[in-house]
Amino acid sequence: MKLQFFILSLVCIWNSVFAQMDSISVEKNSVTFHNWQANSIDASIFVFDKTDRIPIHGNFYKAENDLVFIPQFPLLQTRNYVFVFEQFKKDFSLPRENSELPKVTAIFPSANKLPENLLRMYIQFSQPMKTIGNLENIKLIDENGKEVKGAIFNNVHELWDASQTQLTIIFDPARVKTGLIANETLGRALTPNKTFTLVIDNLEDIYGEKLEKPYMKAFSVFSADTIAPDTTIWKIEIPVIESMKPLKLHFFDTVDKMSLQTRIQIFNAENKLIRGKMQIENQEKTWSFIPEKTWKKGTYFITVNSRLADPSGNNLNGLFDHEIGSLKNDREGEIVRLKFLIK
Amino acid sequence: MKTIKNLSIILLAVLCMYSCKAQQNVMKKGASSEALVTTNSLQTLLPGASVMTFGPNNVLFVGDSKAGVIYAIETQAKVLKDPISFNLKGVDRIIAKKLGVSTSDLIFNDMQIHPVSQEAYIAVQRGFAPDAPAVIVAVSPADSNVRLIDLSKKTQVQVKNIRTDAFEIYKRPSSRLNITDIDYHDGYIYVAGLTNGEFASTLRKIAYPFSNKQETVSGIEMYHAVHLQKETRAPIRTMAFEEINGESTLIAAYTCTPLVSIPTSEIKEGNHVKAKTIAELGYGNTPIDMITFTAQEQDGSFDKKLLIINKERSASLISLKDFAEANKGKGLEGFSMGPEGVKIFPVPMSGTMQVAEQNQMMLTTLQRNIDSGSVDLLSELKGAYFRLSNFDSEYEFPDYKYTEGGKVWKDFHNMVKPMEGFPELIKEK
Repeated sequence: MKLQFFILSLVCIWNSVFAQMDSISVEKNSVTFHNWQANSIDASIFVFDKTDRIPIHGNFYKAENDLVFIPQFPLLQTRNYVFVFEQFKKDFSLPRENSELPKVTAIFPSANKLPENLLRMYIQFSQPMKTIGNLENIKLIDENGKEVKGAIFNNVHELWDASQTQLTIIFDPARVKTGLIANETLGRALTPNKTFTLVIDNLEDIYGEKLEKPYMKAFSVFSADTIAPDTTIWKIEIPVIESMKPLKLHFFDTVDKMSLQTRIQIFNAENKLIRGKMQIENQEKTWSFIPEKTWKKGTYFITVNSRLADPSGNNLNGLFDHEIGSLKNDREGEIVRLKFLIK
Repeated sequence: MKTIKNLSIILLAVLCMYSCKAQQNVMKKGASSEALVTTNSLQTLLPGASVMTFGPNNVLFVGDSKAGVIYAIETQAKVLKDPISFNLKGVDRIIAKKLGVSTSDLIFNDMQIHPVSQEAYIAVQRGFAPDAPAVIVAVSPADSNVRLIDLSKKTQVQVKNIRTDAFEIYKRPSSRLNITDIDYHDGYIYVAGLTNGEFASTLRKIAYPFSNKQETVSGIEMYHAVHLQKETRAPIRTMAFEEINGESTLIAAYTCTPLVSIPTSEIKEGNHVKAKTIAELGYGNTPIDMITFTAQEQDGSFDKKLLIINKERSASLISLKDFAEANKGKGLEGFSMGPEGVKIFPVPMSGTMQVAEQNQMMLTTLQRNIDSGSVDLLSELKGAYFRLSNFDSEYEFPDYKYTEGGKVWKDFHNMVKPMEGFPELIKEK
């Protein structure tokens, strides 16, 4: 009898594939099973998507004591995976860079009084968001709590920045501009002397997590802004020589946030770009610039691309909604140079 | 006796061991082809793939909004001349499995038909993260096989004026160009797009083959006269090149729906181009895609068509003869309720995400099925612009009899049914 038990145990051991490991390191393009030990190198070995049971294509290889899996395509942080070696199974997933629920951190223009011909708003989020299917979840609500339909331009391509943390929304330009059908039939979405609320809800981050809570921006509306930004009325606050004090530009009217971030540069007399940090203050009515090195004595130029616009799309070259032939220059994007001296 | 018993147990054990190991080996062989795929040396990933178009010598141009780059990819293809239709429902599931993800992790960006092989080239983003890559898959109508396109043989060019350089110095977030359409015409790639920072009417023109000379990439300003003599700064959404009244012409649909014509010769750097508004496609709508193709009319004659797929409205079909006639005039100037300006025939292609001409008989569509939510790759007959199998019609009732005058419909239905994958439903002649 003893012999029989011995033989049967031997059979069991022979048939069971033995495997163990210490830990798993998961990266987008490789999974390392540390200190991998197995009594068979001949057994079936797989990685699956755990929920959908989709086989994850890739290659396994031994690296000293480790077993390494190189997937054909990068692993996703949204999925759970399972490593299968005969009876041995181990779940793993690609760690998320951020486990907090996404938040709206800012909405531009930041003022709570906005013109009826407002063209563009920017919504900033605390972390990267999904870039499709969001516009249905951003609504304009009137004073009576009713949704103003068709106010926000439902573009096929949503306008995200490269980090996927800033979404541009456009108020349907066909309604904003006078003379177009939508403007004639529906009118502008925003009406002067009324209050509106922009509601942002249910948007998802790249992991599929929804916004922590609905976000609202209430604002009152004044009549159309038909004054284009004009550099001749800007005030330049000149910093003191040999200081790191900011150079400030006061516009006396709100300028588009992306324009402020991308359309102004500082050069010295030798036409060398001055490096530094820029800040937007005073509800986008002031732009300040702190140089990397102290200001030296000399002549400087502030260059402004004439595409610099206000939130209604009026730019240095003329109004968004303009008569034919009324633009200052046939070509948009000419550079305006403002001189200042540090002495 | 005891020895025999022990021997039989040993024999049983050995047999058991052998059979188990044999089974494991079978399992391994059976499954390994799926799980242990050797990572192929093909380069199949792009940083992004937003829009595509085929150019000369079967080169595939891909516009990547993420990197602000246009790629020119050499493609290999076998000639397919027969008009074989696509009937691939749930192509999203097949692609997802191929890429090791769920269908909810895919973003379908564009679809074009290879001019030689009739394969559908589909640009797909895999995942949602800012660095999520894109792949191009090709699906053949002959066998519905889905393969990943080798992207190793390619040239590329950075689209100028995206203004990334200066901002890196300042560490500022840069504005980004969303490339909404690209087209190849007579040695140039034309790039239309919309930035997240402003509403500008800039069309970019890039010489191909790509050269290092920066001058070859020119920014083109244009405007279109709209009602009440006002101008607008507006970006082109989708476009196509055609010869209209003997002149090479860019036909463009704007985001706020005017359909305009611009002589190609006027699209030069520094030129202030005045576009002629030919039609108003109707407000509250976004044009998605635009193609031109030749279709046979019911009387047997051939006519060149312009088809515009819309996001909110039914697709707009326009005869280029009518377009050319309208182009002779001053264009649409007064206040218009739209759609008007040129005869627009609405066709029932809602749910269509992308459309391309497949062959002389068919268009290929990438459609989102409203009921199942799946993405389907389906061919539609030119002239019909719908799929018979999408409808439950009285024609399919067992007791339905075609009338004498309805014979033409019977012939049409019998022709379409096998094309849509239902040869068994053909009714006797």
